[in-house]
Formats: sequence, structure tokens, C-alpha cells
Amino acid sequence: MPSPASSFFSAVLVVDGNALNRRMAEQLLLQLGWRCGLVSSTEEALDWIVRDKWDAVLVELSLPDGSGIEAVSRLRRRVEEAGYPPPRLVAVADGGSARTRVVCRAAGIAAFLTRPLTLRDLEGALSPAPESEAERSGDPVLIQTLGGLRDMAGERFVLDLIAILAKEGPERLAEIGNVLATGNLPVAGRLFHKMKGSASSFGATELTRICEVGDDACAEGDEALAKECRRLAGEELGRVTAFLARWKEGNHA
Amino acid sequence: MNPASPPAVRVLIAEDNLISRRVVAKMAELLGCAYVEVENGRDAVEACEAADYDLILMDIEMPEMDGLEAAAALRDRYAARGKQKPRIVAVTGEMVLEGVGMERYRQAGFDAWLGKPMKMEELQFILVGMCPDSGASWVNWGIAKPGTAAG
Repeated sequence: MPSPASSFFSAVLVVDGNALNRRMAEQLLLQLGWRCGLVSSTEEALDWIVRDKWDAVLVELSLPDGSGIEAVSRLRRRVEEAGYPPPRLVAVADGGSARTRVVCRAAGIAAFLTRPLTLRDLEGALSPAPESEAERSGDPVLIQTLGGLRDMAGERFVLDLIAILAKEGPERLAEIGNVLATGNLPVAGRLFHKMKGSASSFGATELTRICEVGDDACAEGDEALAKECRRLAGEELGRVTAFLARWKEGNHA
Repeated sequence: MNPASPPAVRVLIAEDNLISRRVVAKMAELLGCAYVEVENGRDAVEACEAADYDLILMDIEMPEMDGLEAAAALRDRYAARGKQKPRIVAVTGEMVLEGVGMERYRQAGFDAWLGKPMKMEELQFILVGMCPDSGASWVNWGIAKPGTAAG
């Protein structure tokens, strides 16, 4: 099998069990100026991933030979062992529950795409804005919700809500941590639920999703996932509160 | 008839989350409603014993008694007395509410649902549609109520 030598282009390894999906991904990637390798199974991917230095890996989540998320962990270990720089991991699925998205994020997958793939989605997933830039731009639903609340009830009202979240969010997160440490999942679930309520009022989509999955994980007795959700909720709350602080400044400017 | 002082829609807001409650209460206030806030389903049922409401905005997952239980309790109580039940609107953070989920709400006694984050136009739409006699929401928003003379 040909192993592509280094190229002017960045390279993406496409791991997908379906030949048609592989071809479509290839077409889109070529249009974006990416070079790609196409493989159909995790085993093949494990072989190919160390033949070249891949900038990104596009993995189908429901691979025939095992879960895509597990495949991602194996691929990542393989790259680490080979001493290569870690590629950007992008998951592709036909649809995606909130849980799948959160589990992907916990597994270090940088972006999650649903079919049909579009040029724009692929480009965004493969060439992300730098973290600070992404933070600056904020969640569009959040921006829209804040603007809507301000137009509706005035800036003072929105600032009061932001102050409540800034105080309540970290307190609740600490509480979830304490409760999870004692293994009391029902109480942790209720706390996730409360945090979800606050997040959804602001239109903080990702935080809402993480809290929802945390709540479900508690209900199902999945302590490991609940803890993971607590960690991710902390990350995301930090991002949301930083954005809210900038929004506040922007409004005063 | 004085269009400047229509009867205010009496709204009961049942929501355990402080931020959500503030937002919903502010919307109700701006839409000219008279509102009362409670923090769980049990208090919502008790509040309906103490006073009459036109509309209840009910969160689903609440401590003590959740929104589905509270709606069902209210449905049964009003039916037992042969009295017209207030309209009950589910306010839910659930991202998808259709098919089986929607039917479960209907059976519990809900008349409509609103997603979070709630939009004022959606609440206004519900108010105008469900409480046509109140007039408050039309007047507040400068929309001429059908059948009434302007000014």
C-alpha cells in the first residue's frame, strides 16, 4: 500500500467503515487542500497512523470492529508510543446524543461532526480558531440570549443574572465535587440538574449539555462519567463566565 | 370599557432555579401579568388552593413534587370540583420534546410547552392565545386587540 511521503499539504487520516463515506470525505478534504489517507477499520488505522505524521484523524464513531471512542484512545496511545505529535481528533457520526458528544469531549476529541459532512463544518473542525479566539467569539445562542434579555429588561437585569451565576456556579460545582466524593449520586444528579437550569436560562448550550449528561449519568449510577462531567462542567463554566465578564465590559464600553 | 386597564392575567410561576425564575418573572411583569412565584410543585398546588390563576408556568424537574406530578394533581383537583383548570404550560430545558415525550406532558394535564431559554415572544404568544379575555398582553405591546376600538 502506498505510504504518502511528506507533502505541502496537511494530512488527514480518514477512518470509516463505509466506502461511500470515505470517498465523500476524501472529496471534501481535497477541495479544502488537505491530503488524506483512507482506511476502513481500527486495525488498519493503527497501522497507518504511524506511517506518517497526520495532522488530524477523522474517525467514524460506529466502526464495525469496536466503538469509535475506544478506537480513538488506541490510536492516540499508538501515536504517543511512536513519539509523534498528537493529531487533532475529529469524530463523525450520523447523529449524536448529548451523551456521545460529552463522552467524545472527555476522550479528548476536539470536534464532533454529524453527517452529511459539509465543507464548512470540516474546515471549522480541522482548522479551528485559536482557543482564545474561540472563547472570544462565544456561543452564538449565549450571545443571542444575552442580547435578548438586555433588550427585554435592560442591562441592569442581565448584570444581576450574571452576578447570580458567577456566585452560584462555582459553589454548585464545589458541592457536586463533594457529593460525588461521597458517592451520593442522587444528590449529585439534582445538583447537575440545577446547574443545567441556570445554564439553559443563559443559552449556554455546551454547559447545559454537560450538566444534562451528568444528571443522566448519576441516575444510571455511572460514577465515572458523572465525575468526568463535573470536570468538563468546571472547564465550560470557566469559559462561560469569562465570556460573560467580557460581555459586561463590552456593554460598559 | 376602558382599554387602559384590562384585567391582568394571573400567572403562577413554579420554578426552583433562581436565574430561570427571575427571567420568567421579568417576562411576565413586562407582559403586564400579575404573578406569584413558588419554588416547587407542591407549593404550586397549594397556591392554587389559595388563589385563582389563569395560567401556570411550570418547570418540570423540581424538588418536593415535580411538574408532571403537580400538573396531574391540579388536573384531578379541578376535575373533582367541576371547575375550569388554569392553563398549564410546561417550561422545560429538555432539548427535544416530541412524540412520546409530548404525549406524556399532555396526559399529565399540560396545555402547552415552552423551551428554555424562554423567549418573550413565545410567552406572549401563549398568553394571548390562552387568555384572550385579559387584554393585558395586547395593550402592553401596542397590538390592537381584535374587536376593540383603538384609543
